[in-house]
Amino acid sequence: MSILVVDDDDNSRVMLTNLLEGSGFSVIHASDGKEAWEKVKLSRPELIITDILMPRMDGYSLCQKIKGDSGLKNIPVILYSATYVSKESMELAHSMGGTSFVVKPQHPKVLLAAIQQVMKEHSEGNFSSLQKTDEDLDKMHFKVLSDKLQERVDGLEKLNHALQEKNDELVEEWTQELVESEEKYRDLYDHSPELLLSVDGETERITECNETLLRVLGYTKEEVIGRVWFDLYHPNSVEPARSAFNRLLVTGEIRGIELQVIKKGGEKIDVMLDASRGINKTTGKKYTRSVWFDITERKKAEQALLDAKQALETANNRLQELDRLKTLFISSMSHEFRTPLNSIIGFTGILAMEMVGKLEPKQKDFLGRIKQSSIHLLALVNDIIDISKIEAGKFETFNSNFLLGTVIDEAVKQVETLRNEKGLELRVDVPDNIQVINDRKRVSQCILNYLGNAIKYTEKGWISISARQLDGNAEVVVEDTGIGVSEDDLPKLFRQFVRLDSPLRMKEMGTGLGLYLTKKMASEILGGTVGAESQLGVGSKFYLSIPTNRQSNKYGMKVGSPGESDENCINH
Amino acid sequence: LGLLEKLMKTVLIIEDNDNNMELISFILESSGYQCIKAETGQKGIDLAIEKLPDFILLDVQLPDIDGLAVLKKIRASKADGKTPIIAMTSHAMAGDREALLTRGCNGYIEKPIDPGRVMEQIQEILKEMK
Repeated sequence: MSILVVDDDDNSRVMLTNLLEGSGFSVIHASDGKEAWEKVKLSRPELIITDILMPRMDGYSLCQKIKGDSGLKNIPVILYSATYVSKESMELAHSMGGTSFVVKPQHPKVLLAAIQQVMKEHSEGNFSSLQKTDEDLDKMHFKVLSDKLQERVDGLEKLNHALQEKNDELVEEWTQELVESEEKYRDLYDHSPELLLSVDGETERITECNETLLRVLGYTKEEVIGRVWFDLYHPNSVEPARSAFNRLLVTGEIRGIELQVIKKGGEKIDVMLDASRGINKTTGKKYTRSVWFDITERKKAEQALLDAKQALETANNRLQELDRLKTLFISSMSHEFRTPLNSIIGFTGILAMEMVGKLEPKQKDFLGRIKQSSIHLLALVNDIIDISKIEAGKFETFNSNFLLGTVIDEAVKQVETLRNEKGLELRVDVPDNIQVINDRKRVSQCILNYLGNAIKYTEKGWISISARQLDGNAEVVVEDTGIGVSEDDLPKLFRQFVRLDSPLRMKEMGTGLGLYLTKKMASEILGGTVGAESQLGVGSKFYLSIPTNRQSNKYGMKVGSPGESDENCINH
Repeated sequence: LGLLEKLMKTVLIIEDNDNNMELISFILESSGYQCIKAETGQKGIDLAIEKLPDFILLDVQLPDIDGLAVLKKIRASKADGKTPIIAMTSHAMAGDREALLTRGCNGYIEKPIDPGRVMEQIQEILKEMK
């Protein structure tokens, strides 16, 4: 027994075919009503199971066609549908002559039972046939189809509505997100610490800028947007900014351009410009995105630094000029001040010695005073010159190898007259084997100063000079039984122009520079030290310590030996 | 030195400063020396060779040629290679003084010249040479 299975859905068709073949039926099949109609006419199956909704010709039409054909109308037709399940649908199926109506999906057993029922009724001669006229059937068919269509439309509308709702929901959600995102980026843009702006590459007008730019420059948005970009620059900056802008359009990026921008009030600020070029995806037009870093403070600092440098240079030049003047002063002091003094001292001496004629006692006394004052003045000039030279680093110094004892002997001899005048005893304790390599003349000068002071400030008693060797140093000590110095005054001794109060000191003439020069000479030229101990009214003790072999001192001075060549002269 | 010997002695003074020249020549003439005066280094060199003085007093700060160069030239001349030369230096010339001594200067007297001591100083230097 053969059954025709009609279904446009491949899966349903195969499943049904397998079920029926498994139950011993022979099956032929068609995928729509039209194909089924052809196959029915050819092979005349004994039963037809057909889907309703199919392309080209639906199950109803197929049923109607078969039932309307006198030769085929006895073939039972089972309508099998998942969608046409309304009362009207079933009624139409019945009216069309459908033998049975099965709702999809149905258990195979139910389907088989339905088939067997149909077969049984058929064998009993119980044929179903068209129940109505074709016109009525068409009306019913149309009604079912339109109901079905309406149902579909309703379904679609419902679906559409749901979709619309979902869509609205999503749109609202997305809009919210977009707004939040926009706010976030707008905030970043507007309140960036830097000044931001965009310019249309063609019109060169500003299309956008951030709040920071408006705040710093003092403009409103309306005053900035739409303006040509170079309006914002200081006239001096327009040309370099123009060339940077042109370069930007070509290369796509510029960095670190330092320019000046004008605020609303006309005040200018220094900015550093970084910019990149963008190209609009839809229009293809170029635009620029610029960042201005406010570097006014940095520029100010740079300027201040530059000014300071300038001031320093000026000061340095002045100092150099002063130094030059000082050197000039020293050299003129050296010669010009001394030459006339030498004449005064010399001629006064000749007159005082009565080499040109006999003098009255008063005349002789006064000439002696003139000579004494001149010598004092000369000593002052000499001390000042020495100090100036040391301070200017122009002091000439020479090394020579000598016996300290010899230098001390010479010094003692030089002050002999003065000492004898005062009737002071001299005590000498100097070993004759202390060999020294140092500046002989200056060592002698220091010792002479100590001896001179000792005699000057001692009225009675003795003065002494002793020497000894200590490691690499020679130490000379000059002691006296003079007026002494109080504990308070002791630290002032080696300062310049210090002349301590005392009747004897007022009487004695001094430069006020002697000890100061001795200290300076000892430390800066000889590489040694000085010191003093004293007791007021009892006496004083002065120390001088010098290296016995002066190679160089702490000032990096090179030391030569005298007389070898002119270059041995050391400018210190 | 006796008076007669002194009368026979000539001294060349090379000194540019008029006052100093007057001072030192007065002292020397008072002591019986005959003074030849040169106000420039060059004139001093010429007179040293020409007059062959008994000794020379040389100021080391001269306007034309410095003292060291004058000393060198006189020492280099055959005629007057051994004449005693005494330099007159000032306080500031301490360095030059050492250089002068190692270059054939026989001694120095320091300015300011002390009229009471200068002859003694000169005699001492001349005596040491002998």
